[in-house]
Amino acid sequence: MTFSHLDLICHWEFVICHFTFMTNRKLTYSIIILLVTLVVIVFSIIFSARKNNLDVYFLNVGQGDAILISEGQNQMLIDGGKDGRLLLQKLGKYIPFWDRKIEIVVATHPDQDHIGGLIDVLRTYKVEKILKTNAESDSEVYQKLKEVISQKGLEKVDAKKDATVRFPGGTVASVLFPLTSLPEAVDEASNDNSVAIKLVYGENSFLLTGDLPSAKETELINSGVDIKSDVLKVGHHGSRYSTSDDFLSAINPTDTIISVGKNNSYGHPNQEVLDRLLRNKINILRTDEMGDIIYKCQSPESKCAQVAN
Amino acid sequence: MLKKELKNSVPFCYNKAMSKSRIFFIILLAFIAGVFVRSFWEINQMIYWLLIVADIIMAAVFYKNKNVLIVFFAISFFVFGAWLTQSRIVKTQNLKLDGQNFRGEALVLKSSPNAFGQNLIVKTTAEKIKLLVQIPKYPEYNYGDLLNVECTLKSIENKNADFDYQMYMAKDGVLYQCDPVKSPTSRGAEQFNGVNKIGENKGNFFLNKIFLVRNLLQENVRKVIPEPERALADGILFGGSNQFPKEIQNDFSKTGMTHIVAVSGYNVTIIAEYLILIGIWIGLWRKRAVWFAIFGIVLFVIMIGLPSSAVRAGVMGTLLLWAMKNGRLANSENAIIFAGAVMLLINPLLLRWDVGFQLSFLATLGIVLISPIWEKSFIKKNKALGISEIIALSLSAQVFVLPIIAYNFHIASLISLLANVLILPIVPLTMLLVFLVSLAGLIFPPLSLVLAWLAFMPLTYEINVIHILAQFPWASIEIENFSGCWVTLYYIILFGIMLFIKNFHNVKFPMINDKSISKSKAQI
Repeated sequence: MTFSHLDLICHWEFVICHFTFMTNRKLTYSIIILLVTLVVIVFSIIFSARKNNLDVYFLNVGQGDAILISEGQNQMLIDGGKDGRLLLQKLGKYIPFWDRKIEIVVATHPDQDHIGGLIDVLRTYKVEKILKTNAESDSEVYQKLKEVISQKGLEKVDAKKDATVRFPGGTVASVLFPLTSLPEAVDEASNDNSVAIKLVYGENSFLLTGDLPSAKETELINSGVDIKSDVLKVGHHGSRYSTSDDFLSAINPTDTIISVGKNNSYGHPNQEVLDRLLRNKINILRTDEMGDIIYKCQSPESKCAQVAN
Repeated sequence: MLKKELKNSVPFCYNKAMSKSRIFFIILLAFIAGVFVRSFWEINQMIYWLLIVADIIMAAVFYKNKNVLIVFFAISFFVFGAWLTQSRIVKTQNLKLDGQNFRGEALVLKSSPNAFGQNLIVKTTAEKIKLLVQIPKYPEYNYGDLLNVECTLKSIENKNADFDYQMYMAKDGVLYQCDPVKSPTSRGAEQFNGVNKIGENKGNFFLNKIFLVRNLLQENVRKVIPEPERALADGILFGGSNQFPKEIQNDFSKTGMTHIVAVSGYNVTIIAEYLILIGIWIGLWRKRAVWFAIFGIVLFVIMIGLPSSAVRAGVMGTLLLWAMKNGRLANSENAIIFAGAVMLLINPLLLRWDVGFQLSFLATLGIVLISPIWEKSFIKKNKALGISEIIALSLSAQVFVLPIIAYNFHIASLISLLANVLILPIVPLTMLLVFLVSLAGLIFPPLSLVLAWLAFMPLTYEINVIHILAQFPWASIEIENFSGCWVTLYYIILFGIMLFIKNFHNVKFPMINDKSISKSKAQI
């Protein structure tokens, strides 16, 4: 819908004022003001670039997942929800305006509610690497994502156990699952091969399991890696097929995040899962109720604090 | 009422007899009145014939009287306007293809993405009918793509009772929506098989290029300015508020600031100024600089997809620039009426079914008619675009558009005056910076990034100020049940008051006076 209250085209004086405004003296003043502003901006960039504490954002992107991990000037984005426009609004809010680079993007598995928003991110931000499995999908969204990845010449990193991303400030994100490299083929049961990532920052740890179902959770427990974490992003938006009792006791989290859309048609999160979490006396934080859920970590030695957005 | 107004205006003309410009005004007004009357009321076929016959007889009998001849032309143009509208309305009601299957080639004329999909306006190659196609977001289609379409034609549905989407589309000649054939895929999701791309760049060569440039410029802004500032930057330069998140869209409508993201006379004026400055700077003569600006405006209005408000501003801006080139300034009333008549001649349905058209013309009319009164009463003629100037212009425009906004959007902003005062002065700077950002992206991307930091400052200021102002509980009031009757009553009272003040104060129209002419000449 277009508006135009204030139409000045008839207002001739307005045109004249601008010609007056553009006299040499004023032009010089304007340029000086712009330069001063620029200097201030550059100094604030330099000042803030020295900080390297960790922030973890579970973004409320409706029914879907999107997790932004930001350590100083370095960002990692895990999944992108399904709506690129919404995701870009969230990123604009949490990434400083001068930083147009996301160092690495992770696509846990090729479902639309996880990769839909990534296409716009790859087009908008300068993204260096993409961490994903070889699992493919025949959906238009996945085909588009693939096209944009090759068009932008992103470095592809195969997501399998032991693939690790190290941030300069000490944060380490390591892939725990899938255990081996996947074949390059359309994956009918895409959730089964969701990338699970453990994020460690000193004393603090986060476990992010994509849409991993219970059977695979068991595989993950049996693989022998340390999955004990403070914060768990509940698998598959709280679906009944994820987050088994065994898995919960192996992780022993204090907080769980459920990334889920309001009144979604899947009935996520499932009541059984919620009961299970309550029984284990674990905090439940839901994006549909709280919006973006943010953890601020000041130093590797102290505990991360969940803050209101 | 109109006749009285005209009578009163006569003494302001250069001589006692009706000047040519006044005749021109009356005839175009009659045409617009014809369009108006037929847009809102059915007219019996008989009445047209009666009018024409009476008109001709009158002219034949009194052909020696000049005034009668003017009336003759006025009536003829009135009938012409009504008839033109009639024929277009009849076309929109003829939906004989409803329910039929369509299969064939179609050219994409317009594609507008939304959150989860895209709306395409396509024109079929064989039958030349325009269709609305709603499909998922990917794959993306653009202007000039040739598609193979297979679908069922349906008349366009109104999704909510509040907004006549059917007529909104019909005014642009789009009568059917075309629902592509769907078939479930192996995984249960619906796949759209009805649309396949078979060619690219099949549209108008010139338009292809111009849209390519626009996309490049938009892309450059997107790369360096984060959301939601990017959406504002895009809106300020290319028009459109639909890229904002809901909350920001609400903030803008609560503070009555949506107009800054609609390309209107304001933007066009700023662009014209900058173009003239550039023209002079690169060493063009004054007249050539004006041609340069006219050319630039036309290009710009086409580039942003010809929305009504921009076309109006473009036509009027061009008229004013042309007048400037020739050393005489147009009468602004005539410029408005001419722009309106030309647009309605091309598409008479705009008058009733394009809110952008209504707002654009009413706001301009408000500024032309009321601001001289404000100025006369309380504004000292000092520096133009001082705060008092912005207040006068904002108030004038708002008084005229208030009922249209209340009727269509059920809101009236109380804080908009303050918002305008705080925001408008830096809009030209914002436009310039955003434009430089998009241009630098083509030439030297790192410069584009640095400029983006600068452009970010006014953009974020505008968004934050608007957000803060929108939080006040009294920032705006919701208006429900503001019916057409109220709108009519409002305008009758408004024009009544205008007429009274005009007689009382003897305010001179148009507002372009000799002083400003000499000033503008001195400047260029």
